[in-house]
Amino acid sequence: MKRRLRSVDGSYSCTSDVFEPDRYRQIFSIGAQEKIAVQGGGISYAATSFGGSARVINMRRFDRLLDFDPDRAIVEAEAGITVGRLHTFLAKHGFTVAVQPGHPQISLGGCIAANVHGKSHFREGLFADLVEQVRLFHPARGELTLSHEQHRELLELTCGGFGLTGIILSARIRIVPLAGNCFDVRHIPVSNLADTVARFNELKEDHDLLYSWNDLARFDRHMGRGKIVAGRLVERNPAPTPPRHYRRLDPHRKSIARVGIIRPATLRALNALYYFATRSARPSFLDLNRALFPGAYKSYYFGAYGGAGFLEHQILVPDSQISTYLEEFETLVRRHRQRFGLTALKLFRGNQKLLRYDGCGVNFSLHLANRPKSLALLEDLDALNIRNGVITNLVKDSRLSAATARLQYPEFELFARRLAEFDPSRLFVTALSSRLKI
Amino acid sequence: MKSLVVGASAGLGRALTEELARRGHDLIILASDERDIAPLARNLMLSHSVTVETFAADLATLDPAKIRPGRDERFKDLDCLFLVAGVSHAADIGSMDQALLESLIAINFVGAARIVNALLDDLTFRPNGHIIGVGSVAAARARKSNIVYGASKRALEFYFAGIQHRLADAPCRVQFYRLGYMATQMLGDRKTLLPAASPEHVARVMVDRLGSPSGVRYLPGWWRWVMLIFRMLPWAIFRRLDV
Repeated sequence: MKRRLRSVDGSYSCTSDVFEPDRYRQIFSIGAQEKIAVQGGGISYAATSFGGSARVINMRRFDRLLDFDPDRAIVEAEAGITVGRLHTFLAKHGFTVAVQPGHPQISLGGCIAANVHGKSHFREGLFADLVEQVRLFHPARGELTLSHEQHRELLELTCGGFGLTGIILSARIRIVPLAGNCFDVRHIPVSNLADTVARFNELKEDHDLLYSWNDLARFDRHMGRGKIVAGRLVERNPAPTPPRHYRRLDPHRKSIARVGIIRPATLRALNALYYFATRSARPSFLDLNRALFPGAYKSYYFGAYGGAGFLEHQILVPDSQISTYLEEFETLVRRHRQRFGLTALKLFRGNQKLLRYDGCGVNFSLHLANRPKSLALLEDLDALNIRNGVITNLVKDSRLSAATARLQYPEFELFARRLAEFDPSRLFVTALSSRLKI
Repeated sequence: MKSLVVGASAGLGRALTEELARRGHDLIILASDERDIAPLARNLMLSHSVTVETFAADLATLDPAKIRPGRDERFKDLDCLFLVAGVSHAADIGSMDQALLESLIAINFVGAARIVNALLDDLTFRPNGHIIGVGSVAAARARKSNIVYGASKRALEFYFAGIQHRLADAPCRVQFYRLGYMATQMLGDRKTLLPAASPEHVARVMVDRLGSPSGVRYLPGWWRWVMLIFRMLPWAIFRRLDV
C-alpha cells in the first residue's frame, strides 16, 4: 500500500510502499530482491526509516512483551513495542529503562537502531549499553541471535546502525529498579551558555534528570540565558497524577493549517514569554510520564514551524573544547542573527565508536526554522564543528552531508566497511543512508 | 472464566485476547502458527497475570478429535468459544484456483463448524457458556466480489442459527456478529466508503455483550441500516453497482 511519509522535522517526504506485517511468516517471507527500510514509530526527526524507492516494513504490530525477570533485572520484548508501553509495564513492577528517549511513541527497535540517549547520558550512557540480546532477521542471512557472546560485532553494528543491518525482531535489555514514583524538579536560572555548563558540572553527580533550556533567540547581553531543569527521583504519597492521554505524533498526516507560529519575527517574544513563565525557582513534583516524555505533551511544537518545518542540529562538543567552542559559536550566531527556536544542553560521558553519537562533552540540541538563512548558519557551524572535533547526531540532522559526517566520525569508513561485509547487496536503505552514502 | 479464541494471532482475534485477558479470562489461543501465538501468550500472561495456553493448528486441516475435552485437558471447563478466524482473497471474483476455493470454505466455514461440533456438548450446559461466531456484512447480499468468502460466511451464519435454535433452552448463549469494515491488515489502506472500526473497539463490544441474549448483531450497529438499504436495492440498480 502506498503512503506519503514525512520526517518529523518536515524536511523530507516521499511516497513509499508500506507493509505492516502482523505475523512472523510474513516477515520471514520477505525476499532479498528488493530494497527495504524498517520502521518502528516512524517519528525520527530525520528520515531514518524510509526513503527513495525502499519498501517500508513497519513493525508496529510486533509489540509484545516476551519476558520479564525482576531477579535478573531483564525485560524482553518485540521491537515494535513503544517505550511508553514498556515504561508503563515496568513502572507497575517497580522498574524502569535507564535510558528513555523523549517521546513514548518511539519503539524499542528504534531505540536500538538510533542508539538513543536519555535525560542523563552522563550517568546512564546510551541505549546500546542496556542491550543484552537482539533477534535480527535479514532476508539473505535468515534469523540471527546477537549478543555479547554470539555475533558480537554485528550486535555492535546493529546498535546505532540506523536499521541498516536488518529487521530487529525483539531484544532483551537490562532494566533498573525505579528509585521513586516522581521527580523532584528544580528550575535553576542561568545567565548564558558558559554559566549553564559550569552549573551542570556542579549538579551532574547527584541528579537523575539534568538538562537546560536556553534562549538563543536574542543577541544582546542576555543571549543564552535560561534555566537548568534538575530533578531527582523521589517517592511521594500520593504520587502526582500522570496525564491520562497525550496527543499522538503523526508527521505523515496532512495538517489542515500549516501556518507556523514559530517564526523569526515571533521567536524573541515567545522565548521571553517562556523564560518568564517558567523561571520560578520553587521545586515541583513532576509525574514520571511528564518528566521522561516531555515531547509527548508538547506535540503542537512540531507543527509550529509551519509547512517548511524545522531543522534540528544536535552536536556533541568535547569537554576539552567547550570554552573555545562557546566563544566561536556565539560569535557565529551573532553574525548570522538567526534565532533558534529551541536550545537545550545536556552533559555526556562515554566513548565514541563507529557512528555512535557518544563521547565526553556537552550536547547541544538546536532547532531553527527551515529556511535558506538557517542552512547558511548550519553550514558555517559544520565547519566550526569539524575544527573543534565536534560530532553531529546523524539521526537528528536532515541536511548533514556525507563529506561532513566522514570528517566528524573517525570510524565512518569502518562502519561502512563492516556493513558491506555483512550485507554485500546492501538490502536495507533509507533517505539517511543514501544521503550519507553509507 | 475460560475462553478459547480461534484465529487469535492478529486483527480482531488478537484484540479479543487482549480484552478478555484484561477482564481476567484464562485463555486458550488457537492459530496456525506457533511463532505468533507463543509471544502473544507470553505478552498476555505478563501484562494481565492470566493463564494462557496455545494450540497451533491450521483450521483447514484441524482434526476435531484433538480438541475434544476428553482428549486434551486444556479444552476442559471452557466457558466461551470465540470463532474469529476467517480469510478472504482478492482472486475471489468468480473463476478461481480450486485449492484456493476449497481453503476459503474450509477456513471460513468447515473448520469453524468442526470446532463448534467438537465442543458443543461441553458448552451446552455451562452456566456461563457462550459460542460466539464472527461473520461479515459481505454475507448479507451476494455480490460479484468475495463470492466464496460471502457464501462461506453465510453458511456459518446459517449453522449458528441452527445451533442457537438447538440451544434455545440451554444456559449456553449463541451470538453471531456480522462485522463491517475493520482496520486490520485484511482491509489494509483500501479506501472505503464507510468508516472502518478498530478491532479493539469491536472486541470491547463483543466482550461487553457476554451474558446478553443469543442472536445476530451487526457491529458497529449502524451497519444494520446500511445493509437494510443494500439488501432492498432493486436488482435493476444492484446489477450496475461496482461493489
